[in-house]
Amino acid sequence: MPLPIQPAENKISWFKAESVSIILALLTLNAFELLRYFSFDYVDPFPFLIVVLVYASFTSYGLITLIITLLYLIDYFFTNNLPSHSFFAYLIVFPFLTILDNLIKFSLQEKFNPTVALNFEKFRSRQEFEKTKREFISMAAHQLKTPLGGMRWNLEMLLGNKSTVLNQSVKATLTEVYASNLKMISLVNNLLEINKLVNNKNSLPTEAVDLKLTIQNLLNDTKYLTHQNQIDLILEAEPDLPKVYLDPKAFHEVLLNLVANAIKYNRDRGKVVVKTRLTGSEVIISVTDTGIGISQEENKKIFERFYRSPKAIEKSSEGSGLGLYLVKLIVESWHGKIWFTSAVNQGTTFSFTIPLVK
Amino acid sequence: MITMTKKILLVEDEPTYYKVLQKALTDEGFDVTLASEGKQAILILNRETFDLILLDLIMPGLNGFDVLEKVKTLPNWNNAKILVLSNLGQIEEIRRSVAMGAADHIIKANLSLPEVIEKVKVYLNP
Repeated sequence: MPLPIQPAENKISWFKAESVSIILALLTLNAFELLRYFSFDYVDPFPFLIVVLVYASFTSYGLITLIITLLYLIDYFFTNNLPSHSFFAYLIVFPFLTILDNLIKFSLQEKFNPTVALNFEKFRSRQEFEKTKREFISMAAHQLKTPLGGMRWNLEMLLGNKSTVLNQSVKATLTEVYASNLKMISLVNNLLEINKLVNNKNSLPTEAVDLKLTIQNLLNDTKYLTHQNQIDLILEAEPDLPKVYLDPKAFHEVLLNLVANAIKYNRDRGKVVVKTRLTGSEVIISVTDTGIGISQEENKKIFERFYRSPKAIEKSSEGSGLGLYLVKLIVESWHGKIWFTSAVNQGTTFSFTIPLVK
Repeated sequence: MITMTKKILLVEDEPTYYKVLQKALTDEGFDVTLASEGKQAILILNRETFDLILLDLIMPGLNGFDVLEKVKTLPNWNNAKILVLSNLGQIEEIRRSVAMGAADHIIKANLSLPEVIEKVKVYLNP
């Protein structure tokens, strides 16, 4: 469906943005004009004319610059006053002014009509726009991963066993930096994952997954997370679970998120129980903890992007608010359901379903 | 028993990566040669052989996929194992590099430096 373009609104926002820019330009110019009265250093006008012409041809403010230059030339012919160095100062400030202007322009346009700011006319359809957006996010995320990964390896070299050059306090600080670095990498990975899921919900690769084995492996891999608070990890799986067809990486992501949350928001010496239950048409997997709990009012918000429960923030400042959002997207991608039951300060159970029919 | 120093060709354009990798691999006792772009890698591979090649994908000029294709046509190509090291990690890209002859595809940011070194060792001493 082609997008509706609203020329009227378009015009208003353009006009407002342009007038703000002109006001800014005039204000700057006035300030320099005032300065000019206090300055008696006159210089040769020709080199600056070249600079002005270059600006005029490269910036969107060419017209204004040309007019200002003309005014100076007229001034020169009638009074024989050469431009002062304040004019050069204006030329230096000019690019910054342009950037500022563009920012204001952008924000104004977005307020009036977001389609203008994103230059919607260029995209023939919403699908095309969505595709471009998806590609942009994917590209930006990959670009972010390059410096983040470089940082990671360098920090690992510094913090590695073989390195003895660091004293304890430097090492402690770098460990903090390293933790943030890892967090950013996982954030970027989540972003990429979400980007992929939002757009290709039905095209995740599927293969036969042995649920019991996968869950058991994951619990073994997450054991190291439980040492600090001495949490018990328990698996109660049905003996004869059929194989299910889904993307193993995506399933791993779902379970890892739920189990890691259950460990993180638990009480000391608490329990995490992963249970599987088989009904006629689906497998229900539940993750139960003995932690802080989630209030009923948060029922809707908990799966929202960037939402973090106040109690969760109190317990741990870390967390992106993307985990459960991603989990829900993945579960829905295989046409499953996800929900939770909870009692504050007693514990929470997250359950999700995997349909048996392929 | 004769132990020969294993030779690694590192093809990577990003200094933050190649500096740290070169140092870490040299510390492990490997003989590391650096090529900071695809063309240079092909030039080096024309006159030398290596036990292992660590290959980045996104590089100016000849990219990693081009290198994967070109090495096979070299007269002295010794079928050295190639590990792709990249931040591109969508399933299609992994499939593509493996289909083109890479032994493995490592997503740089997702693996720690010791893990990468470990992988290199495994591929050199199977």
